[in-house]
This record gives sequence, structure tokens and C-alpha cells, in this order.
Amino acid sequence: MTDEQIVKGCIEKNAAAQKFLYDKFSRKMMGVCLRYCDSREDGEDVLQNGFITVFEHIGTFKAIGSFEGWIRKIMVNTALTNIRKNKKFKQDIKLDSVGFMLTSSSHITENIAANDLLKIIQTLPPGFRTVFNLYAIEGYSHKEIGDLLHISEGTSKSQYSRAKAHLQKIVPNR
Amino acid sequence: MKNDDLEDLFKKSFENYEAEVSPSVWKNIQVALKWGGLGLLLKTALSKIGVNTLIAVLSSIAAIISTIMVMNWTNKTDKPLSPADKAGSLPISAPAKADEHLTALPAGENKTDKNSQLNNDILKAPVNGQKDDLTKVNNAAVSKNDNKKIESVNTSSSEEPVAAISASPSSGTTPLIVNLLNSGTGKVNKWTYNDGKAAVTGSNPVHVFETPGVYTITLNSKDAAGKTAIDSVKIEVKSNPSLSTAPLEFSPNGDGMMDKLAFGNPKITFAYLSVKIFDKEGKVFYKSDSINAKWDGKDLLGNKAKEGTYFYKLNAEGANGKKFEQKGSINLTR
Repeated sequence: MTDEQIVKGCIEKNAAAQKFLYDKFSRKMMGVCLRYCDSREDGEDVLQNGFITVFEHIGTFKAIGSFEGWIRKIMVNTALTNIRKNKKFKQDIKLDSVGFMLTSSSHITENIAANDLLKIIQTLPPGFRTVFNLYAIEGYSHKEIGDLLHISEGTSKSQYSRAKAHLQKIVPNR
Repeated sequence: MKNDDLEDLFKKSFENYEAEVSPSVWKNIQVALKWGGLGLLLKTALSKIGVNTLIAVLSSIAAIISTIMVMNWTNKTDKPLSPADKAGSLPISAPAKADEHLTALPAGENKTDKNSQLNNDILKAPVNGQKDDLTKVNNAAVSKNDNKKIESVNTSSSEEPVAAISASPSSGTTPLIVNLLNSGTGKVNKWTYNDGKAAVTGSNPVHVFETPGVYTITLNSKDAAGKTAIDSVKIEVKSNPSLSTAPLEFSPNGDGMMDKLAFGNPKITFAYLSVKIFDKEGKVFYKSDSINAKWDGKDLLGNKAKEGTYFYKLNAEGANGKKFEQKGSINLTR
């Protein structure tokens, strides 16, 4: 099934098309959601709400951009709503106080894997984590991040550079 | 690591990163889509109480509504009923859960709102005599309506389940292995830990706390009808004094201060102690199997280690047979 056919099927609320879309993207989107959350449970909540939004608003998808990009954007927005709901931005924890203890020897002896990077990201305080995700991985500009999170462009920049400096200390060289 | 390398590393690692998703997510989405306009409400309810409970509750609501309709009909055609009669006329004591969720319905659901209000009133009314024949009338009428509804109402009207955690031990040092048991009556048990590890199901799981702190274990227990009960218990996990006392800073520059790094703990008699030190590339830089191991900042060939971060891994066994494992990092300066 092409993306076009999936979209058409989902607009018609065709159950097979919905399942196809879910199967095609759920694992990848779970990867996105996890980066914004503290736990698997939290990540699955965001994924679930994100997909419901996708299905409910699939009629608004314009075939100009990439379909995956559209879904990813909804996931990110759902994650941000979730963070805002939990008022996590208000926590102002100093980065220095965040400990990261190596919990598996895998990244000592082998190349550092995405799973380990995910654990590292998840130890960041939510504010720093969100800005880092949005800028470094999703590729948003500081201006866009500022608008999304209702913070100033400067705050986004400084949070990002602090998060990065912190990560540089933790992440072992490959 | 250079700035750009770090960004590249994260971007590349996560560009196509995929993670496992538990099957319940798709089930929840399906239910939410099926119920259309009510989706949002159901979604929230689902994440809190689960699909089975919700179905039972919805059936209960339907049954209660039909019961009330029958009552109204009885009112018109028969003798008027006092509130006490009404209470008696409910074939079952309406489940508390149903009320909660009825009142949670949006304002648009006026009809159900009123019914739930009525239902509340009925519940508040004292129960006394005369109920027998009315119950019969009602039961007969309801069973005419829908047998299934009665069934679900009856099951959910059974007693509330009980969740009771027994945790042993409830405090101790890392790694703390806690044996858990639900000594209550709930059948489906979900255990949630706030130490970042995933929730598990089962009636007697074992959980290991690896980091010191005060944690809460929450048990969400459901009975066959989907009614839930919650219990929680606090667990205190202390750091293990018998693990290595190795400092994180280390300066083997021959000034007599912290020139050697000892890994044992003077307070503990070890039967066995092994140390491995890795550099940032993950190569073994130094190792020792001696209880009295002291690292002088040189590798196995006697070359001096460069300044920077090193990782250590200790495996030890105390004279009392207790096993320890500790990993950490060392900052080496000269």
C-alpha cells in the first residue's frame, strides 16, 4: 500500500488501512516518543494519543510534505502537550545535579548504541531534554522552539548549549 | 568529542531508531476510534481503568438506565413509590464505579447526568422492607430488556476487590531485591515502580532496586469484573556502605595526595575482588584480581594514563558470601 492509499483508506475509516498505517509507523514513532519521556509507560501514552490524533485528523493531511514527517510532527506535539500537562518545564534542576551511572557495561566494551544514548537523554531534566531533542534531532530552529515552548529564543539557545556541554561530558568517545 | 560529532552521533542514532510497542496501545487506539466523539473521554478513562472495566461500566450504565425507565413505567401504572421503595427496587446496588464515570461525562450528556443524579439519590435512600416484590417486578422487566446487561451488572455488583501489598524486605542496601505479593483479592495485578523500570504484572513479582532512594511501589489490582483497587508501599533503598569507597577524583602525580586508587573497603573483608578499568574507547586499561588492588594510574605495560575520564567495574564477594558489583567513572588529573 502506498502512503496515498493508506491516507485514502484512513479517511474512509477503513480498519485495514488504519492497522497498516499503525504497523508501518508505530515502532519508529515509539522511538520518537521515548526521547521526550521518562519512561516506557509515558512514551506509550504519548504514542497512543498521538495516533488517535493522526487518525482523527488525517483528512487535514496535505500531500505536499512527507507523510512520515506529518505523523512525526503530531507525535512531537503530543509529547510537548504531555510535558506541559505534567508541568515539567517548571522544574528547574541544575544539570550538574543529574547523575548518570552506567547501568550496563555494553557501552564500555562496545560501540555506543542508540539504546544507551536514549537512556542518557532520558536522564536530562525535561526542559533541557526537550530543547536538545527539538534542535539536534528534529532540526527545529531556536526561534521555532521558542514559539513551541513559550520560551525566548535566547533561553532555547542557552538550554541547548548547556545540555550539549553536559552530554559531551557523559557520552564516551566512539 | 567535538561539538558537531555529538550532534551527528545523536542525529544518526535516532534518525531511524525504532522501539518495541506493547500490543495494548493498538487496542486502546481501536477502542478510542470506535467510540468516535466519546473517544477523548474513553481514552482518558482507558489509561486509568483499562478496557474491561470500561465495558463493564458502560453495560452497567445501560442497565441502570433501563432499570430507571422501568421504574418510571412502574410509577405511572402502579402505586407511587417512596424513595425507600426505589432503593429496594434496584435489583442490585449500583456499582460505585459507574457513578464516578457517569459524573465524569461531559455536560452534553444531559440524559445520563440526570440518571446518575437520580441513581445517587436512590443510593443515598435508606433500604428497608417491601423490597422483595418490587425486586421481582424489576428483575422480570429488566430481563425482558437484555440478559447480557444483567449479567454484567451482577458481576460488577460483587464486592470491591482488595489490593494489599506485602513487600519483603521494605528497606535495605543496593542492590535491594524485594519480593512482592498481593495478599488481597484482586485477580489481575499491575505493579508500577517509580525507579524508571517498566511496570510488570503477576501476583508475586520480584523487583530489584539498583539506586539508593525512597521509592513507591504501586499495585493496581483488578477483579474479574474489572473493578480496581490500589495499594502502595514505600521502599527505602540505602547505598551500600560495603561497596568500594573509591573516590571519583584521582591524581597520580607523585605528590603524595591520592596517588593510588584503592578499590576495597577497609570495613569489609573481601573473599574476592576484581577491578577492571576501561578507557573512553572501551578498551581494558588496567585490571587486577587482588583484594588489595591499588591503581597507580598506569596501564598494564606501565605507561602512564592520560588525563580524562575512565570507567571502572568492580566485582567482589564479601567473606559473608554477599556479592557486589559496582560501575562508575573516575576523573583522572595529574
